[in-house]
Amino acid sequence: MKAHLLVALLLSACKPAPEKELIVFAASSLKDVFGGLGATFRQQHPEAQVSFNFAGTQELRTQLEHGAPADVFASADVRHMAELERAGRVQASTLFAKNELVLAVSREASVSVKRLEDVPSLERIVMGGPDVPIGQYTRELLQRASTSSLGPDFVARFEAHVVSKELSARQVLARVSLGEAQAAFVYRTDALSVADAGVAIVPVGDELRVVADYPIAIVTKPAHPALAAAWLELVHSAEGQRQLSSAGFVPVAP
Amino acid sequence: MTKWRRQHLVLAGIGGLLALYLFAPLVVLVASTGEGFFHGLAHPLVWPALKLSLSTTLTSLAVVVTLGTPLAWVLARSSSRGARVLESLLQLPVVVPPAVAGVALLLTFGRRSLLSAAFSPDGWSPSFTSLAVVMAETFVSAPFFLQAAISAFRRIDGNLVTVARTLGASPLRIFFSIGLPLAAPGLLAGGATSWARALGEFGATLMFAGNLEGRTQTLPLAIYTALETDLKVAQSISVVLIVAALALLLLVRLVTKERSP
Amino acid sequence: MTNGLSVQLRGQVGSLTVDVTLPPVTKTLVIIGPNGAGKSTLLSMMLGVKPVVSGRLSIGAQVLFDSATGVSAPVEERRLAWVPQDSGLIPQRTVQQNLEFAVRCGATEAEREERRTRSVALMQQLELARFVDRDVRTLSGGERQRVALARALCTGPRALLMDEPLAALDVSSRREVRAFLATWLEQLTIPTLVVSHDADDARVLGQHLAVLEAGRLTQHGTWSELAAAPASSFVREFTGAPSIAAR
Repeated sequence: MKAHLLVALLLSACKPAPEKELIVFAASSLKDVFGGLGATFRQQHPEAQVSFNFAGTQELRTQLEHGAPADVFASADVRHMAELERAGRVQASTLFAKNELVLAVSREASVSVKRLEDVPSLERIVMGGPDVPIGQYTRELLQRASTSSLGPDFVARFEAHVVSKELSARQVLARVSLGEAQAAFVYRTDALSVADAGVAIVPVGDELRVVADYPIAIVTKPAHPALAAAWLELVHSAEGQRQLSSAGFVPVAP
Repeated sequence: MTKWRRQHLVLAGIGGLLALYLFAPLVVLVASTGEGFFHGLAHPLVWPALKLSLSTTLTSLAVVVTLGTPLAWVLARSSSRGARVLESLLQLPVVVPPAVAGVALLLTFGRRSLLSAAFSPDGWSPSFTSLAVVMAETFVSAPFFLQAAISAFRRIDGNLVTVARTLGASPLRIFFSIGLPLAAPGLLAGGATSWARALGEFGATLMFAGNLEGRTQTLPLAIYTALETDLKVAQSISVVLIVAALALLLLVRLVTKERSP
Repeated sequence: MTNGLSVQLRGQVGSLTVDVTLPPVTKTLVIIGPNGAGKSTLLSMMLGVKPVVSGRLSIGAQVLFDSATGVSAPVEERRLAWVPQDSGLIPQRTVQQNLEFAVRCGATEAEREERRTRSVALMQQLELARFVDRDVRTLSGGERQRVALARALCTGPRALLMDEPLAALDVSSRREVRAFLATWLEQLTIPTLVVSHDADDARVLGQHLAVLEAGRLTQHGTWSELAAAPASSFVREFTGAPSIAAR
């Protein structure tokens, strides 16, 4: 009798997940805007739930390579997505947004840093790690900087003052908004999200402009193919692009 | 089969499940790394991280043992209610998630903290330095040593201390001649546990100290960073950590066996 | 001013109130009483490790505690030697090391020299030379008590307090060790208090007995005095005096 009770208890704990739960893996910089889109999605599909996993793109890619359950993957760069496509983990991807790099400066440092030229005088700069998209975009920017009017000296002094290599764009941003780091190159959308906390934004200018391409794809064998397709549709739709645009992303021509 | 034997097997079976679960992933990790181990070790991430991990954990161990031993002694010999409360509070860093510990350290010692403002108008802070790594490791590993040390000191027969006092022994003499020698195996075991915890510390370090090769990227951080580029490298470093942990465990076994009657 | 050890102490430990005035002790006084009567507690109060509310403790002219004048000598300075039930030797150390410890506890260099001289003499008198380099845990109960005595006495104490000295010994060795202890205590010149629950101990170890019951002194005198006129049923049973009904 007691054994039966125990088995029943165990079985009820192992109940399968709710009927319709869409799982979206997305780069950390998409956190706010996808959160908003999630609310819109629930209005359009009341029977469905959306769960998100926001992290550094490289982390999500590793998880997907090892078979983590997800339906949709939104990446902050084409490189990681291409690797997953090549490995057969995701179906063909499409671009859905673009982002730009700007310089975020902490409240304390914003007094003395008004232009890019002021940056090498700082002591604590952070950037993304070697495999994090924001880190790679920053390196791309630095490469352009060395051949620009700022010169290779800018790059050398910048790199000499990097004190930490973070694992996601949001972590880079957090350092600056907490005041631990004085400046960092971040996505414009991220910088905008903390502008009211005193974080100053220094535009990068045409010479050094780096554009980040965001692709999105459905995984090869999604648990909810219809919902996944609906999510992609929402992201590409006029409403989706509008929300992306007001967050600071550059919309993609349909 | 008798009833006794059957029940014994059931108990052993249930316990064995847990043991297997704890053991299997580590065996798989070591086995699947195979010959890739040495190739993985050659990766430029590894040696700076290894050196940093060793130097910071040894420093934090020294701090924990030097300051923790007298504290544990006082708490163990005290019978006041305040001491009991303090003892419980000192276990908090164990319960608090490492990331939360990191945030707490940032708020206390970070650049916008009161402490930092007091130090210099510029707002100096240990964050992003190796000192921050030591601070994070000390914070999370100290409770393990303290608990073991307090237990070890408490096990000492109170009569020994009283007799020593009647002979005219000073508190320091009692600590060095009776307390330390008799509690030594417990202190060593506590130190090993504390060191193991410091070696594996990740969340608080990442948050408070940052992640930079050679300065703040300890072995666990190197594993996490390597995980995304090259799983083999992450595996190799992981095996190094496992070997280090095994060595520590063996050391503790040896020491405690040697000392007990 | 009384000679010898004068004990008059009142204190509260847990739910037990101990309020005792002992007869002056010049030689050996054996304190007997039922379990929980406060015998060991009284010793602790004398040593200064348990709190005392009021009273006076003195040896000869030396006042160790006096609530009236606020005098209370620290434990380390009372020079009362204490031998607990399990001898209280430091384990994992040899006999030599245990004695050395007592020597090094001396406050001044001169004092340490005196202690060293005494310990050498005591080692001889107590016949400890045979096992001076043995770990104390390998000694028998009786041998451990001898080491404990040597250690206690090498400090040149004003009085000796022993708590159940034979209780940890097995029955077969008790008689032999008891006889040895009796002889030894006889030639000691300092006052000695022995706490015991054993009738044979009481008969052999001391000339005078004091009975503690529920924290209070109910009777004191020689064994024959107690046996002849027991003041309580405990004393009657202890001394084996036939009950009134049986007579």
